[in-house]
Amino acid sequence: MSSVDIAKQIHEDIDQIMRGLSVEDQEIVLREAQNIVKSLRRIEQIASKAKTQA
Amino acid sequence: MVRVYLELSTLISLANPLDLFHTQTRNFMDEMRTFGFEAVSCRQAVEMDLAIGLTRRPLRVGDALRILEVMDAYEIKLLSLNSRDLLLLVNEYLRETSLKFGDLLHYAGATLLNADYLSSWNTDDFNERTEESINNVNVRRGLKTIKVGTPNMILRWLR
Repeated sequence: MSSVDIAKQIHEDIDQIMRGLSVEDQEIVLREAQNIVKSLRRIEQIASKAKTQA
Repeated sequence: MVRVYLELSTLISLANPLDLFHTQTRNFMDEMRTFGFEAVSCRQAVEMDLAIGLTRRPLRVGDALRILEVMDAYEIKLLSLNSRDLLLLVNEYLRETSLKFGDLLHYAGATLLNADYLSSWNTDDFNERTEESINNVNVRRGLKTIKVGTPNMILRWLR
């Protein structure tokens, strides 16, 4: 898949989730997405630290 | 300073050396740096892209981490907006265009971040026609209008 195909697929998936939700629920989804990315960064930090200590 | 907004397709191509647009995107970023332009993206839009990309599978964890990495490496500023303002604008766009919510998060992000240009390789959803629909709403709301194009088009306009 090219970058364009992936971006289009993700934006289509976001549409399926967000369209029709209240703005309050949309805000909750944005917050949860932020938490996922925060966790991802934290996992990577821990993994990098473990690698350098090994 | 000229502010250029980067949509997801440009971020993915920058992060993936095997992507069709990778070299062109790198050249674009190098030229932007030379000209002193500011590269930005909307934190909420990118976080949504990465989170949904991971949960619905088009992205692997390594892909998402690499995107975050290249944003740091190329000094692409990930800027936060008031989520409610962002969503209210997206929902207004939704009523007036046939674009997807994910696309509109980037249009709204670029508008509210006062970007001069929005760059995307996805010319189906980011083109002159969609630019006009978005700018109709922006003009009505007294918001900044944006110019939409591929990285190559934007470089041509700016040279």
